[in-house]
Amino acid sequence: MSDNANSSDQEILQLVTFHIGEEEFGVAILDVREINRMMEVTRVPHAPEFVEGVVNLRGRVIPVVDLRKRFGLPARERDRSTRIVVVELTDKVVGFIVDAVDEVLRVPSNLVEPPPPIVGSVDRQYIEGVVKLEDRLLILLNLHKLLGTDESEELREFEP
Amino acid sequence: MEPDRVSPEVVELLPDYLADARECLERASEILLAVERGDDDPELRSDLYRQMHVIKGGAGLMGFRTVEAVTHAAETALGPVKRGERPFTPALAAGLLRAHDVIAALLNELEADGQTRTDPGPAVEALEAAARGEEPAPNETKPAPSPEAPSAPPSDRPAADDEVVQEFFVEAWELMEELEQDLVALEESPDDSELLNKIFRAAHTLKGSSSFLGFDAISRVTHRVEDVFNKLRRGEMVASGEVMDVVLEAVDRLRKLLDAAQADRPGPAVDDVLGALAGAVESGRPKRLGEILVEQEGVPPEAVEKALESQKDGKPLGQVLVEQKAVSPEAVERGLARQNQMRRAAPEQTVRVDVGRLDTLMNLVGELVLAKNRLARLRAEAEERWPGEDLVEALGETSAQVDLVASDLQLAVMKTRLVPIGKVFRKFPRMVRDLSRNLGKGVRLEVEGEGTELDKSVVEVIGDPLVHLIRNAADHGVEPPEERERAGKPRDGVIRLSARHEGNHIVVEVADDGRGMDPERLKAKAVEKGLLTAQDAAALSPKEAFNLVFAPGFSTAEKVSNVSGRGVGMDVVRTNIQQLNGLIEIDSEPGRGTRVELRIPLTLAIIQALLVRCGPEVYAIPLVSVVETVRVEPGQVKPLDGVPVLRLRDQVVPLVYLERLLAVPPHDRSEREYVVVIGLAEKRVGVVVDGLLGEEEVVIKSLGGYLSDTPAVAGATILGDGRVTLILDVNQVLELAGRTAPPRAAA
Repeated sequence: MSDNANSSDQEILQLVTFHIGEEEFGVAILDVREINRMMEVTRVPHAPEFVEGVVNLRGRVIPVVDLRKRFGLPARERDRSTRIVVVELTDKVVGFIVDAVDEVLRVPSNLVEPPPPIVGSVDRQYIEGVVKLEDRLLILLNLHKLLGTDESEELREFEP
Repeated sequence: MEPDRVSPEVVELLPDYLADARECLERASEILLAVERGDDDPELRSDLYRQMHVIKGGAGLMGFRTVEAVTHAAETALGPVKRGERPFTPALAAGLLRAHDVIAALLNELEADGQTRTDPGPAVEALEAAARGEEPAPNETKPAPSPEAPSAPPSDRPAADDEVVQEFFVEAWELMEELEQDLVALEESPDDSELLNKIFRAAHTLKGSSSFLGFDAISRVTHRVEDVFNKLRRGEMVASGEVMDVVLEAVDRLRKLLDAAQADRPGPAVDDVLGALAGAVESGRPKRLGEILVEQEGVPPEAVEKALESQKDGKPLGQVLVEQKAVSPEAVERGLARQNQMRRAAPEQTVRVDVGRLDTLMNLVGELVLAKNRLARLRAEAEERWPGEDLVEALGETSAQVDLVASDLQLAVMKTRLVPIGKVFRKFPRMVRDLSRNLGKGVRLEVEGEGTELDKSVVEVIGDPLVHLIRNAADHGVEPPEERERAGKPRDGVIRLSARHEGNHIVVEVADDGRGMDPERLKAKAVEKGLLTAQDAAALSPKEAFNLVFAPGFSTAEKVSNVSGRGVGMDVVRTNIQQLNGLIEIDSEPGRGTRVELRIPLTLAIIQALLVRCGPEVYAIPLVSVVETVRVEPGQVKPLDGVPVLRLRDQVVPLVYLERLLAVPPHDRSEREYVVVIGLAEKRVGVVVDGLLGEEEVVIKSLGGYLSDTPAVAGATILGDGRVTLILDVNQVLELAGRTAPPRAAA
């Protein structure tokens, strides 16, 4: 554990990383409940546009949000690498559709920097911070914000 | 008087006290009504006195001085009546009913807020006046309690204390006498449940009042006796000779204790009796065969031990013993017969279970039903793909068995949640009596099917609609006596309240033999109130006209009485029945009466649904709301006032297209369309779909959070193929349809 050698109070973040288009994102592993292949989604009439619908998660009906649509990115054909990242936040279970899930990363928390004024195409309010890795930039998503702000005020009420 | 508060020391006792007190109140109400009907025997009077006494005793224990004051006043007023020294005057009955209501209100307040608000003063004064033989002052003009009104609780009044103690002894000796007689009778017929209940009540009463007055030893002994009889009356044990010996011994000791207490000297010790009673409770359980054989047939205990050890393969113990030659087959027969005899008396055993646990159980069963549906689907697929395979056949059999067991389990769990509708019905006799007095009409309530059971959650919602329907029947339906006589009917009107099962539904009916409703008058009224145009009104069928009463603000009563006629009642009926996914049908004949039928699903969690196809999507419609399905050819649908409608026998049903309602993506339209006529309460709408896929049992799951606001969708379910399907919210579909439909459809 080289991290521990650096500093005794050094906190290690464990992140699940995935990407959408060219951007790479990370969310805390503790918030992630499971990762699934694309499932059959049932459309919910008159739901917000970025809500793809609902899926059957082993007998539980949960809403699924298309992160591409959420971030206003152009739609893309679903393929073999498309995944649904199921997160659980204070008892609310929601699935996010992402292009692909990459890996689990261990990152010392001191590498996390506040979000720069402009981060790709993603609204700054959904960003907790960025992690500069050797060759790339990882965007840490604030899932609570993603589920609970501005036009999707109602999303706060998400429940399983 | 200071309001009562639930102090922390007694907060744990509160639920039990409330349950007890309410039971007493209910019984008191029954007795009062019986007495009013002229059914006035001394037995009833003392029973009534006892009920008040038990409530009072408990209230004293709990520190509820207000409740105590009211019950004390009731008791004081009832004392001379009970002893036959005074007649049961109407004034007293009225006062007691009032006291009953006040106590009920106080109990509710204690339960809800932990403190009382209702002022017991007027009720106490009315009782005191009745006790003095005065007529009660009219309710409305009751002055504030005068300062000198002696409404203080007994504990603040030593003189009263004495009086209470004397009353206690009188009552206690009476009870003891009854108790001994009943115990003797019980030895003759140990299964007599009425007798068991009576003894239990006597012990309970004695326990309550003795503990209230601080006669500790008496209350401890009676408490144990109560325990014994509680088990006996529930059939959890048998009144064997040994048990009776112990109880009689206890009664003897109680006599001595009473003697001592009355003479104000220390009584005998009670520990031995308490121990014996506790032992009786323990030994009263049905014995095991081994024990019986050892005791009755002289089988050595070691032989039974040995047999029990070698009894591995599920062989009955008796058989093992016979094989080991430890006992004769006849002895086993006798032992089994004896055991059966002991068990026979145990038909009803009850356990109180937290509703939350039942809900969890129901949810789990829901999951199982889903898995069962999925298994059935897989089995069908497997049979198609590998016909004749042994494994597939085995899978088929297993699946069929799981199917059966899951259905049985579902039914069994549903049954645990069922309560008799009588729980709701019980308050109506009193209500009708009061109505009948207030309105100056003779109205009799006939109740039928109180035993009909339905889900607890449904029972909670159905009470209010019934209150309104019964009020309406009494107020608008039943005519004044003179009018009835002129019409050649008996002077007293009859309201019939009945409940029965029909398939997966319960049907509750309120019918009166009153003046009935005149469709033409209803229409005229609706037009006058601007609810619809004269032209629309003319086109309504009689049935449609009856449904006008559900329109908010519609009231046909010539005068608004304080009973009904404000035009909100029927709205409540509709709202609650809709909430239950129920249907309402009104039938009426001028001069003959009105009948309102409520049709309500038995349970809310698992429902039968009709699956329909709309383009590429599948939706589920609760079957209880489906009135009928019709296949329509193009051209059969005609617009009326710009809204497509389907003429169906005598009704015109407005149509909604599901694809438009739910913004289904464009798809190829099929040649034929199907109309699913759905109904809720009195409304009907036809939903146009592309196909009918059949029925399936579905478990309603919430869409959760903001998605639950989705218009026209009540929830989701998972079908046998694992797909999520949305369940239509019939209520909202009707509402959305109503916005575009002519006013009569919305009425």
